[in-house]
Amino acid sequence: MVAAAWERFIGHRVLPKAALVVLAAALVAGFLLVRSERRDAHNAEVLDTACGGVLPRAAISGLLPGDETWELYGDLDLTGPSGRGPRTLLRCSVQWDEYWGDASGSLELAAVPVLDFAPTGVRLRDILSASAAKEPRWATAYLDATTQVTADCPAGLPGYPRPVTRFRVHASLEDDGAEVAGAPEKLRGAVAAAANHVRDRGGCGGPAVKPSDVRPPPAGPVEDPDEESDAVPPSCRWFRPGMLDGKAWGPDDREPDGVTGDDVDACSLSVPRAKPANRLDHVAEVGSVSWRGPLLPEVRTAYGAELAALSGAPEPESGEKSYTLAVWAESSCSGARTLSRVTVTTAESALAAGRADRILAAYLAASDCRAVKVLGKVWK
Amino acid sequence: MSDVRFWRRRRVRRAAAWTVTAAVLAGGLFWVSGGYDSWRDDRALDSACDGDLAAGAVRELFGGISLTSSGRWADRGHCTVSASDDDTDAGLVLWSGQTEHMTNLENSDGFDAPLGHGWTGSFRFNPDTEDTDEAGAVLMLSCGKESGYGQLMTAEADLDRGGFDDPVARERLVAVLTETASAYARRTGCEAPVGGRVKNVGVTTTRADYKPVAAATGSCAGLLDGKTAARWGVRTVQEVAGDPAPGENCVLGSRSGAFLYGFTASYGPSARYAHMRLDERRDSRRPGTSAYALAAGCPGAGGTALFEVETLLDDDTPQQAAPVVDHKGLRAALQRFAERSAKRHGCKAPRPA
Repeated sequence: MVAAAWERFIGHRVLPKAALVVLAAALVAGFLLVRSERRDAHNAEVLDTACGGVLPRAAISGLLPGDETWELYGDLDLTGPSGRGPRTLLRCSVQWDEYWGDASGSLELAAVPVLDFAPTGVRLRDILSASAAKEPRWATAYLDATTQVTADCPAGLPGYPRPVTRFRVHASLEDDGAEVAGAPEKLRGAVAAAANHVRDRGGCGGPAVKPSDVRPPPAGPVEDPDEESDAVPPSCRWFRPGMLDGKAWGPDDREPDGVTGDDVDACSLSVPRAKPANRLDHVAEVGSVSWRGPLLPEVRTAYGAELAALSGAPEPESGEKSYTLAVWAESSCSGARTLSRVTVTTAESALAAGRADRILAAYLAASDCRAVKVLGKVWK
Repeated sequence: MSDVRFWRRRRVRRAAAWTVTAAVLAGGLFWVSGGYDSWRDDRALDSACDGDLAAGAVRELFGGISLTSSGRWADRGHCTVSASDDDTDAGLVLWSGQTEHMTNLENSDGFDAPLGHGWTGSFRFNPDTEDTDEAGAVLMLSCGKESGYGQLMTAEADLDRGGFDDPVARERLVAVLTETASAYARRTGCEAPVGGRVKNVGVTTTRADYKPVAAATGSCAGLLDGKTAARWGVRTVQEVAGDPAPGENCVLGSRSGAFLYGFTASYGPSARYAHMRLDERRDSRRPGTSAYALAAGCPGAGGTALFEVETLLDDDTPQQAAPVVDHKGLRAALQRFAERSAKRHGCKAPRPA
């Protein structure tokens, strides 16, 4: 009977072909279903693993394309006692590529300590170079992120050479190279969860981080529209070229370089000489630094030999190509105890010697300094 | 021939033909998919670098990446491992040379981390770099007690993906170097003492890693007492772990970590170079910069070690020290630094260089 039924089936005009089509369709559907289930299971495992498993699965799943396979890269969890103190506390990157097409996207999250990158010293060159120096990329990446939070760790993060009581968590969500609409709000939960993971593992203490604490990164420094791009820095505006018989700066002259801060103001400038006395006397240079507050002991150490050599009227060595005279003073500037140093560099020692006191006085007057006590001078 | 035997032979021939066809197709598929190349490269890794390469450790370091390798140590002592896929930069370069033929080691932007665990070596990875996928390590092997003779081996790796800020990656790179070096030493008859598996591999100390002077536990520990440190204006140190390395450093700094005094111990090729620079300074008769130096004879690769201290220099008068220097105290601190370092390396007592 079965044989007869089979013979009838095989001999039918349409049934065999239809059966093959149905079988093929069932196989494809089964394949897609299995693949979809495997993909969902894989994606769930990625979220459970990423960044120490702290990402809130429901919230994050809603942000990422469910019909793509997510891959986890660069997953690192160094929270808790990890020895020396890493630059990265927590990091993960969940990425996807469109199966059919070129689009791709990523969710990236990182937690990093807030380390101070103090200037390399208190001397004029150190201060001016520090203002131009860039912090490492890992420390500034939060400025380009979609959203971020700076959290406190009152007990100090473990494993660092000195107390580190703050850290940052930042996250970015991009799809096909552009930030996803509404991403800052959608990522708050993940950022807060990561921050609390760091806090708990590090024994930080203090209040938990809330999603409402998480905000987009601060905007960059606003340029003062009144300040011309090539204007003299505020810390150099006390100087007039006439103080050294100079002329106004031209386009070919070195631009003044200056820094203004809470504890230090510094300036370095060169002034073209209006009437050079000899073939080496085309440019004179002036440097000025004033230190206040916690920097004072460090200044006295770093300039210890120079301060010990100060005198009222030192004699320069003859035959030099250029002469630098340093003048020091103590004073009270805007109510703060201040140490100031002015240097004058010229091709003629007599010019530097004859103008240094007036230049120092002009500098201190412009800085609203009183009770001035000139400590002395020394030729460098 | 009977009909039965004819049909049986025909079935056998047909089955054999299908089997051969399937085998050829499978083999072709294996070859076209790159499986053969991968298998061949994998076998080659086991005998790379004249059989010295720690193939297992290399596979661990690079995960699932398919790798090609040099069969032998090349003329200049190099042996390379690189990814088979041109789309990735992942790779490893090993180098080996005799210490007596070298005059320097490459300088690091910071203080490289000593390996410890019975090895004389260090790890280089700048934690502030953007290229977190690149790092290196160096080992010094003393092939006997005769001073100045030994083997230096370095490993430079690029992971392409991943980073050496991951302590597991650092540990794996060091394992590649120590196991390869051990195999090399055994094969070449270098009777160097070998250490253990290095765990907790550190990273290069940078200027962001300064710590309070009282917290010094490594190369800076015990150089100054509290009163002397306060008198000198020293509030911080930058140091490395107190384990033997080709170069060991300690910086005494101000409150913000700025450099005031720097102590350096150099061994092997680094010491040879440091001695040359010291001789040049003395020959040129430049005024002293409050720099002092001690030397010590060391067994094996250490050679004649050099221990130096230098001070922060005046910006405008580079021959002069910037702070007021306690010369007697500075020489005493150098003596303590040198003695501790020399003891780690089994060297004789340091004397004026």
